[in-house]
Amino acid sequence: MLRLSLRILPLFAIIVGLAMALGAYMNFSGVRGAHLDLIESRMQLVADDVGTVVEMAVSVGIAAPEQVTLPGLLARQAAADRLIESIDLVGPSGIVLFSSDPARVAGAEAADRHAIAVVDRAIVNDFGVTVARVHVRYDTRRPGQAISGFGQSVLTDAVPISLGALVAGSLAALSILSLLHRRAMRATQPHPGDPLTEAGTEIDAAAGGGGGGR
Amino acid sequence: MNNFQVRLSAALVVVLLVSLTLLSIRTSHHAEALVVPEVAAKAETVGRSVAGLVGQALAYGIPTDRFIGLDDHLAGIVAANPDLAYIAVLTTDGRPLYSGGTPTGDPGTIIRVAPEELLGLVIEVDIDPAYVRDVVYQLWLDLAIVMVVTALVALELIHISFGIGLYGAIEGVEHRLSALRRGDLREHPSVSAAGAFGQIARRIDDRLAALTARLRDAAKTAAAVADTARAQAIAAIAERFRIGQRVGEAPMSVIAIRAPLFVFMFAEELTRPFLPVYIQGLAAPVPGLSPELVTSLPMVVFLAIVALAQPFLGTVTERAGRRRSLIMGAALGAAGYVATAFAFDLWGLTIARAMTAVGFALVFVAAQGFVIDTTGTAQRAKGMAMFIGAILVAGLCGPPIGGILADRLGMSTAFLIAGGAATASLILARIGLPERAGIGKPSAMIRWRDLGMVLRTPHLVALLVLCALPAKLILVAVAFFLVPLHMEATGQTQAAIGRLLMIYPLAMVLLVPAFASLARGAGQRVRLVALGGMVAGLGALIVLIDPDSVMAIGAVLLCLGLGQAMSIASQSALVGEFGNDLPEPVGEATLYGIFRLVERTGNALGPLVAGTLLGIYGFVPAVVGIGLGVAGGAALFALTAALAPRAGSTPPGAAFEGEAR
Repeated sequence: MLRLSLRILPLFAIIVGLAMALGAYMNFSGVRGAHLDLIESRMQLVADDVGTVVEMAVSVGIAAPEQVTLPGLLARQAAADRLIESIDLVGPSGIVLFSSDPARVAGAEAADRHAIAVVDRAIVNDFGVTVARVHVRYDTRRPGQAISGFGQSVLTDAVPISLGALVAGSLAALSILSLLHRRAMRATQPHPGDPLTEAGTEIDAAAGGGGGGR
Repeated sequence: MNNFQVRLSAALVVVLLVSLTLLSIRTSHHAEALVVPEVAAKAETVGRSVAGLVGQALAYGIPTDRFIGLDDHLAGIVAANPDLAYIAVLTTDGRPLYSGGTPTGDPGTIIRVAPEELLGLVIEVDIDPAYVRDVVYQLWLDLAIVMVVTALVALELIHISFGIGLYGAIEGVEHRLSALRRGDLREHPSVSAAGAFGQIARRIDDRLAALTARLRDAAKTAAAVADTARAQAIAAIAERFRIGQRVGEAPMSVIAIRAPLFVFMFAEELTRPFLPVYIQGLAAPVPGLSPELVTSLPMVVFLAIVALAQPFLGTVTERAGRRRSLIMGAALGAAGYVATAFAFDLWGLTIARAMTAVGFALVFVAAQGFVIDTTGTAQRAKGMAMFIGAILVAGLCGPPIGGILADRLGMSTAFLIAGGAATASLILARIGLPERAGIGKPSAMIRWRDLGMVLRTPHLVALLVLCALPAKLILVAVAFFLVPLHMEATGQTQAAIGRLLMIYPLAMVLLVPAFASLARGAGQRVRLVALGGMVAGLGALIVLIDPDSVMAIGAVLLCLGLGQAMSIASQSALVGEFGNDLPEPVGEATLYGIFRLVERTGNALGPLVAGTLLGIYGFVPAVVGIGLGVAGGAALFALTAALAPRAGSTPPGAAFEGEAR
């Protein structure tokens, strides 16, 4: 039985390990996705708020480049959220018209470095034409660090639980084999309710002899 | 499946259930620390946004009791954000003026509306306390699938850890105990394995043999003294306990093919839920072809290669050796999946899929040839049942796991994982398959003369063209092409598409044995084939109820599974029966080779027909049109059979000669 259980162990280790790894990853990625969605939807809210203000001004005839009070609003909104790097109002040609970060104004929008994500919101005039875009640029490094920490916690839990599962699975398999072995051993000997014994007795009775099954 | 296997997989499910539950509970605790601050930050942003809106209204001089539509606006925000439970505009003494959602009772985020010195309004935003828990618990459906699939994979691979000899001994003991429980005292095929279970099996066999000898002695004695009553009593005992009879040989050597075959088929099935969507992403316009038809082309190429290559590969794998052919096929398949993952345009993808198709056809034919080589006529049906079982279980496990992988890791990574699975199949074949295995007959090539003979047999033509071909066409067209594309277009995740695609193989696994046992006699089989075609075809009309409903699409797939489960075994058996009507005898292997060729032509036509109809008419007319065509074919077949009835006999094992997909 010991040799048998040792033969089962590697397969159980692989199968249980893969299942637990997939399960742990699904748990991790589910929470990670929710966390990133929350941040993105928050940034989208900010972009929508700014966009609504700009669109209202556009609808009363103030063109996007003429909305000179915008930098104050953009700076206030950007300061209210620790993740926001800048909020830009970008013209159709890609030039930053206004920004919460004065250094970015009048420059062409450059490709961001890797740790910056951008949420985009179109500014549409009454004729349905996109006249500008609001870009909320936010830092993805800090959420990334938080997610790594969370991943570490999931891994720390998953390893002992998987080992436990492996041991429990192997013990379960061993006990199933032991049960089968016990039942099988019983079947090798005459015992109460044994069909071989019953049939033997019936044969002997029919033949007119005595004795039971061997 | 025996009790031992059922118990082992049940134990595995229980262990995984407990472990994954524990892991999910722990994850939800950790998730709170990560997610709750973000939800609070979002609540503050929402509060500020609403406060800005209300402040603006106040600045325009609108009185606080005249904010028309603000309740609806707040309710809309709550509905769009599952992390928020309640938003309200309150007076400073806490009286709500406007609100959306349901208050939680817990203190929420409070934002003051400027100018507060004038009106003193505040915005309260309550976070949904169940949100974090729900994020983790929403994964339960996927985790449940992981558990079930793990148990099924364990069942398929369990004999690898035991080795075929020991596995055969355990299964042999299990069969003996099960027979003894039923009072069945037949003798069993001998177990040659050493070890505890081998010895036990032999000891039980010794007891059975001794009893048989005793009964024979008693019968001889009764005959010698011409005691009829005693002889009759002994014969009655022998009949009741089935003493002196033998149980048929189980094809244990076939087990060696199950693991590599299962793992390779699992690799292909992984790609089912997202393959059309992946192709669509790479497809570029081709002048004169609709985008939908272009999307179908790599699938058509794959299935056409599988259809056209298989008749020739029987001889090729026989000459090269089944093991070597399977290893080569698995290697080609693995290379094809990896190339698919890195394909950057439609042509590259088509070449990659063509390479996978050759690998797939090689593995399939080599595995089928291995079964034929290692089984005699008496064991062939059981051997083919094992072969088909591996393919069906792979079809059940692959799509949901493929969907989950594509959702979480991306489609390219899922293709790489499929490549890994194909490589695992290669390794399993190298480890587990014997260098040479051969007791079967050499496989026959299909000749034009045989094909012409089949075409001159009306019943056979009706069966092949009106039932077998449409059955495969609707399966590939609807389940593997139209449904994944449509579900993706309606915003379903790959995981949800994968779960949906489980319905068909699940229905097949559960129902095929039941309908196969019902299929007795040619008349009954004709009825089952016709009825099955109609159920599968007319079931497609359910899509008319609501084409965007997952339930409706699920019902279409269920009808497809039910219909094909009804017809598949009978259809295979009828091929053999109708083959007796041929003007000149054609070998059984050739006859079934033609049957498979027709089926695979249906497979290859599936995406082509679906892509054309989808491009011209859209999803619903395409599904309904194909469904009506299949039902019409089945009705016409029934009519043909009714107008010119015939009776025939079934060759042994024919019920298992067809393919599950």
